[in-house]
Amino acid sequence: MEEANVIEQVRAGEVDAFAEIIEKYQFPIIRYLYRLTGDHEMARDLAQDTFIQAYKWILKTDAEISFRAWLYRIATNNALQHRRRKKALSFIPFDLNKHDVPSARNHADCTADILAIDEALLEVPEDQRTCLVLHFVEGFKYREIAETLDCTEEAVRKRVTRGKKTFISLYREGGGV
Amino acid sequence: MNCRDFEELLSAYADGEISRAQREFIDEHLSGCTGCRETLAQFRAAGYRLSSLKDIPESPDIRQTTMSKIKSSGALSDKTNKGWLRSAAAAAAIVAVIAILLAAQPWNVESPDVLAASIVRNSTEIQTVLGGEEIADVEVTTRIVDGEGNVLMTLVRTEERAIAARVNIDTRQVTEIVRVDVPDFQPGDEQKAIDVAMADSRVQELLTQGGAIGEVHLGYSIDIAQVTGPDGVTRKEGTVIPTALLTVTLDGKNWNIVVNPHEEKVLSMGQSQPSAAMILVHIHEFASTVIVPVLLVLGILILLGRVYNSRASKAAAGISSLGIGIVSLFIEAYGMSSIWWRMITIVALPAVGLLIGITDLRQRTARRWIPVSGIILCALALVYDLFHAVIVPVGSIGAIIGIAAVIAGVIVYAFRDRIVALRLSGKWLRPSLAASAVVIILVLALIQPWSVSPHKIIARAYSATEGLLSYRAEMSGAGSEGDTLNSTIEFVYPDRFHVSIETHSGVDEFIVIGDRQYVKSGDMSRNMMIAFSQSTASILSKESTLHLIDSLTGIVTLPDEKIKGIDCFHCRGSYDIEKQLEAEKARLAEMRSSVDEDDYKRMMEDLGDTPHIDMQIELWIGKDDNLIRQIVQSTQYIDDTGSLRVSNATMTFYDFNEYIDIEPPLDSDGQVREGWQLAGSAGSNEQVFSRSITTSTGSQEGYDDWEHQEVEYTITITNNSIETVRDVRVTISTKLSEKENSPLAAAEPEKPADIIAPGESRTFHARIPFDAGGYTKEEIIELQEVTTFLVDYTTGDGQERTQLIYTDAPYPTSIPPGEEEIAPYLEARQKVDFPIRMPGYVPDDMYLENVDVMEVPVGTKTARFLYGKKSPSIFIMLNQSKFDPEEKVLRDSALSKSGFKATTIQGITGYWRQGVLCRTDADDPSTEYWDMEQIEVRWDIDGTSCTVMAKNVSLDELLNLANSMFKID
Repeated sequence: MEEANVIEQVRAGEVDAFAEIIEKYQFPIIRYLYRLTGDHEMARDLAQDTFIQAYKWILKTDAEISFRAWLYRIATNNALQHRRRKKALSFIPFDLNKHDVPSARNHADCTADILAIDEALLEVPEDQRTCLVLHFVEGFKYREIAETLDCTEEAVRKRVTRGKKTFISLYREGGGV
Repeated sequence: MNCRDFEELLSAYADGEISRAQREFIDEHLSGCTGCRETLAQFRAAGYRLSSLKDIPESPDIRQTTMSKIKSSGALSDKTNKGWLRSAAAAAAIVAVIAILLAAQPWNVESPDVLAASIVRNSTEIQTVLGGEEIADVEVTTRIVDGEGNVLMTLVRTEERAIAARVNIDTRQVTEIVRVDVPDFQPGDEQKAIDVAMADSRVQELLTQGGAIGEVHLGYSIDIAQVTGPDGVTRKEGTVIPTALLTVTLDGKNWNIVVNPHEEKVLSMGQSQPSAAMILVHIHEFASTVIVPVLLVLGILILLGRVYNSRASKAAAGISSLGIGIVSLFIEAYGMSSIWWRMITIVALPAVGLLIGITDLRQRTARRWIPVSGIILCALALVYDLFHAVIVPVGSIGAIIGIAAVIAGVIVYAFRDRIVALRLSGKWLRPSLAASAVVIILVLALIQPWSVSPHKIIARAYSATEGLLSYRAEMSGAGSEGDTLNSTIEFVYPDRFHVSIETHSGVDEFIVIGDRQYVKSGDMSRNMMIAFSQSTASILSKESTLHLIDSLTGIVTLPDEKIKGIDCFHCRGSYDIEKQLEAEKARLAEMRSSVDEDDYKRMMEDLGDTPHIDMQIELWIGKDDNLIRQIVQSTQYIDDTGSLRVSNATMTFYDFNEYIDIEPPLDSDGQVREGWQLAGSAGSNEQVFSRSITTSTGSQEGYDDWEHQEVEYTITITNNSIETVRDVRVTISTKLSEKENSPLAAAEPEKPADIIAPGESRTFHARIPFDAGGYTKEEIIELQEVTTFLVDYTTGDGQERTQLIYTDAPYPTSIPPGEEEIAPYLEARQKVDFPIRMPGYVPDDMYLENVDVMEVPVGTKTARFLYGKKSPSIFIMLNQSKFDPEEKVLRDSALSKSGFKATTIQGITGYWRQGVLCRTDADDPSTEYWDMEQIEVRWDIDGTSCTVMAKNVSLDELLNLANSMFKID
């Protein structure tokens, strides 16, 4: 079914239609959130929150921007909030918050190169990383990124450029070629 | 362009995000630049690497869990449910707004003219009088604010005829209807009016100073008078006077000149001074009475539109939240009304603006700075509101910051997601902060809250006072006699007063409710109490305070002070008596046809004779609420005996808008409680009786001395009302004798004295014997002044009423002593004739013509007032007009030779000499001083000797006194 039709159905009160939306987007959103947080479990939790928020949003508004952009925007905000909370928690002296950035190293199926890419990307500053992930992983055009992040295409181009340069140097430091 | 600048383009090139033209340009560059080729390769490699992360990670399906969370969370809301909820919310909002607007009726405040016209058009009485003719035009001719409230005189015209109608705006009733003939204006009346005005010397003066005559407006003024025709029937008659209003502009001030072009005379002339601050007050008034309700209605419609997803309301939301923010901020920043119901609309506005802004922001993706600016401004206005509504009584900075913090917290919480995302989408943040800053700067520039121009303080005080519904005040006054009077006043808008006056023996009280006056008197006579209550109530009424504020001139600011712990602005101005007299004369002229011609002439003369009064007003105005906290009024004038009179009154206000209960002193049966009296309608403006009083004085029959004098009053009262009054009883109270409320005898035994039909008159007599010995002339005059008559009567519908009448008869002329002889009433005192033409004493060339030069008694009011008993002095007031310049030089040199120093005390120029009245050494702390009221000095006609008199003093002491007074050291 067309995405627009599904949204119309949800808006008309058919809750179950929303399952289609989740089905379509859940893995890309989890992937995206993982790239932003570096934590698989957290990515899943945030993805759930993101879909719940998206559902509320569908009920409240008639869309002006594409659903996908809006969904990714909510996800981005959720990731950001998570990071902030984590930052705040890290001030607490107890070891509650021991490095919960289980890197991709845990996964046996990852090649060494992927590992290096993964680690380098996680070090790239957030705003640049968001743009890099949206473009190269999620396949967004610059224009779509701008719509998602509510900024100009010009800003996206700058962030992508800077992001690539940071990534290249981090990747080299981490032993990549 | 160097290669570094190329980076972004190369990056976009690698990502396939550039235009065809850019691509061609880059291709060309790349072919010749190894460095850039290298960079491009790196960017491409990075892209490939990052794209390798596209693999979907292994993850359990979250569809089920998410769906069950959605279903169990409140997010799930049923469409059908929502439908009636929306409608209910919409209905509630509409009802709330209508209720608020109906309760507040802010529009009513603004335009009494429009209201009057609608009252007239809907009046059944007027319809009856006009016999169904259609009203063509309603014109408001006069606006009066008096005891009845807001009254407008209107001229109502149909094709056929015209009537004059008095409309009471407060009660919304037509109170009087009179048929009138409307004189037509002739062509050329404007020119005629200009000619008449130009012939007036005052106008000529203005024109020679460079004034210019502006536009001429033709209009009418209406007089309604009671006329008794030849048939003895009293009826009301209205006269329509054609008027032309001319404006002369001089130095930016407007003078309004009202001319009757047909009778070719100038009716009145006055200055109108629109100060910048007053214009702001008017803008503010307009905004809060017209713009606020309109915006409120629009705002609610927009909010409702949002609920129903209306496109129009969506389009208007952002801009309207911004507009509401600007208007709210202006209104708030300029000053708040303290009337709660007017405040509701003013507080509701930014609240609605805030809601609109929030809903708009949540759904908007472009130009977010618009709703965000609106939110910022509305929130600021709300903070300001709360500050005024809640914090003013506390007035602490901490509380303001607290409230601001709470509001900021709520906003931050409501927008936590958005604020978190600010870093990602800050493109609308900067414009919105900039827009808010621009608006705030504009509002600040307009309001200039930091500048404390006295006119602005006064203008704010005016609008704050206007909103008062109740207050308490303490008044203490020092009169020219050095006597002080303390009283406490409670006031509840519009017409309730409770006044307590401290007296020697306790507390006198009175309660005024509308036209009913209840008196509880200890020391004072009932008449005095009624008179006093009238004057106190009128001094402390809101209207008179507003009037006072409005008529101040020459306002200057003084250092801020605290009154009862509250920070206040402090300023001083003078009350323009001349302007008030002009206004009073104009008012009298309007009433001319309704009062007795003789009374009219006498009142006009009295106004003309009013001495020049110098009245300084000091005001303390609360910084937080702009309410007047204290007024000090100092008055000085020279009375008709030539002595300087000074009085001070301090009024301290508090308990603003508190609940104050003022109820009539009645017991459960509705009877007046013990100790209280109902003084009836003495406070009412309606005067049922007109009166004339004649007075004569002389010795009592069979006597020829000052101890046995008598004054005879003859008072004639005429019933001016349209109904017969009964139980008429006339009493007199006078301090000349100790008699109070003694009844007057009817002079016409053939008529029933207690029943008076409309138009009829009755005459009464009273003979009051008194002892003039031991009184000074001034004292007798003062005793005369406080003589009053009370007329008690019962109206046709059984109401008991009282009318208070002052005696305004001329003072008895036979009592004051002639100038050439020493007053017999002073013979009770010791007297020494002191030759001053002696070596070592005031020289004989000293020019002292007669008693007018040296003020008697010695130790005039001024001297006593200024220095009290501790430092006695003589102050000789100079009556400049009595001397020609040559004589003046002579006199001045004589006075200075005899140790008098020229000085100016409280604006009066004169000579004074200190210490001349002490019996022994002034430096000796045991020195006793004379009670100066008991010493009198009289100069001989030739100025070479004088008579010194005193009460209770031995002859030796008196001689000593005279020696010390006139000896030249």
